[in-house]
Amino acid sequence: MTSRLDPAIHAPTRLQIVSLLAAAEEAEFAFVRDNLGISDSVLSKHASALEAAGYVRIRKGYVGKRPRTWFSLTREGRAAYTGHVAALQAIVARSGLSVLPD
Amino acid sequence: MDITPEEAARSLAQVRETQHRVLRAAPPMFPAWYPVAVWTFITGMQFVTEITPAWWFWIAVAALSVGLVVAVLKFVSDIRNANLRPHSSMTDPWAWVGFTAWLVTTGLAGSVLALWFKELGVAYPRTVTGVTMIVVVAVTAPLLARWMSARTARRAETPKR
Repeated sequence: MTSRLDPAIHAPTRLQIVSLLAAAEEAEFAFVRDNLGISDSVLSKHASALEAAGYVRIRKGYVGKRPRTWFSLTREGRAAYTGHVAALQAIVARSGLSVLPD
Repeated sequence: MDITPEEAARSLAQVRETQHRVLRAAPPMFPAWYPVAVWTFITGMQFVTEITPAWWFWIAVAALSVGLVVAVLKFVSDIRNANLRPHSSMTDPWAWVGFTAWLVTTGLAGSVLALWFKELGVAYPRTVTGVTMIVVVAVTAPLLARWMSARTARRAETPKR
């Protein structure tokens, strides 16, 4: 498998969003926003960009009468995330470093 | 795109930390009220076959079945609309082993308890067993769901899966 860094998910906030979604079948908008400590507008902007790249699927629905939005990674998004992480691991492995705590 | 090994290591640490944090914040693996609803249905069936007059049977079965269908629909809705559903690759297999063991144990315990109550001459042994099992499941199901979530979050913390 050829692993490469993906510019669409390399930016820190994008990588955080994608790594959160990689841990989930689906995650709700407010949950993602609160756990990453970002604003509504920042999350909306990155989610739209990831959706345009074909990496994120957006589902809208209701809980009771309240509108809700859920995000999930597409197959392409999951493959891009896996490849990105593998590329990062390869860079670290070549250098002999271990993963830094922060 | 070139990045230094230090930046790569920092990104990987951030990925792991993010996943660990969100899995810790995720809701329990399953809604604990659901097994209680199933045991309430089972107990209701024992009640109408053991205690109530025969003419109650079909009315009670219809009412209990409607209750079970509502519980199943709410369960599906709760799962589908959860804040976060952990991806199957993140879930600790031992969490599901524990869940299966709990399911089998509570099922067997219910059967054994009913037979034991019958041997002891307890009045309405199947219904009494049902009520006992509702209490047992109401106490243990939330603990089980939290334990499964904790195992899954701990697994995300470890470097290699």
